[in-house]
Amino acid sequence: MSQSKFQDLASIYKAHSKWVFNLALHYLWSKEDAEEVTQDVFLKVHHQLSNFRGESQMKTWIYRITVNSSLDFLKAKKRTKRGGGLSFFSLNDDASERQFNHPGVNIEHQEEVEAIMRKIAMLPKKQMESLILHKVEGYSLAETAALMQLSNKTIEGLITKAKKNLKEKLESHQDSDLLISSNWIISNETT
Amino acid sequence: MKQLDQIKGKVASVEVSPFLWTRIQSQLETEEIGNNAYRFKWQLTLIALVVVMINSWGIMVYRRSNNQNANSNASTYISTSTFSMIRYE
Repeated sequence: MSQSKFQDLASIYKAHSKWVFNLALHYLWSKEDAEEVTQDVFLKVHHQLSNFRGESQMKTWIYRITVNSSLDFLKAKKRTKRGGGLSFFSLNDDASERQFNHPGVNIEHQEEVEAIMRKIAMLPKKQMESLILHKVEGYSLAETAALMQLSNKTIEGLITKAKKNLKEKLESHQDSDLLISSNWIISNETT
Repeated sequence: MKQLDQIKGKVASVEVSPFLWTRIQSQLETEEIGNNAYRFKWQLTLIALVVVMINSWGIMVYRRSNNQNANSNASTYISTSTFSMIRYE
């Protein structure tokens, strides 16, 4: 490996590793998985660095690699869980089965954050991306638009749609919780 | 949607493990060793091919010169025997 290429990677890693790792965490909810994806992202950056033409910003380029690697990781994990082979599945049903071990979430907020993150993971890909960047990571609309390489207006539309979908999902979740608890009360009263 | 607006404050940023960079470095070194081994294998194959080619060329040249010698010996034999036959006649 040439020394200059290695030094380039070292400086890129220093500047971008933290946000790459945290972004992967929001998708994968596990420290070990996020570390694996972060490693994979920087190996890809190293291999493709000579092909990077600088047409987009370095951060935008790394962002795209991180999101794609995280989603691919989830698909691969799901496939191995199902015993390999090609199968059609959505990430939606996976979101309700996966364990939530996000190390950045305090125990007191665990339940609440877990419920929202699970619902966010069930949204269509672009809506999920925009919500994670804007609401969870705290990027401004303009920054989110720049990272996703979309216009501000499109991002606004995506976030509005995502919020609406999320509200419906959270309400149905609360309704089903209420239904379960009311059933439990009724069954207890009758016995 | 209050929950969604407050989520940023409830998810803290996590530091990356210092061992991750070491893992990436060792992975790159392993890949480099693999690449070198692959390159070395090809170089060795090329050298072997060149040696085989030189060897076959050498054998060909040797055989051709041997044939020429044999031919010239045969023609010398024919000419001397013809000469002696003529002489005896």
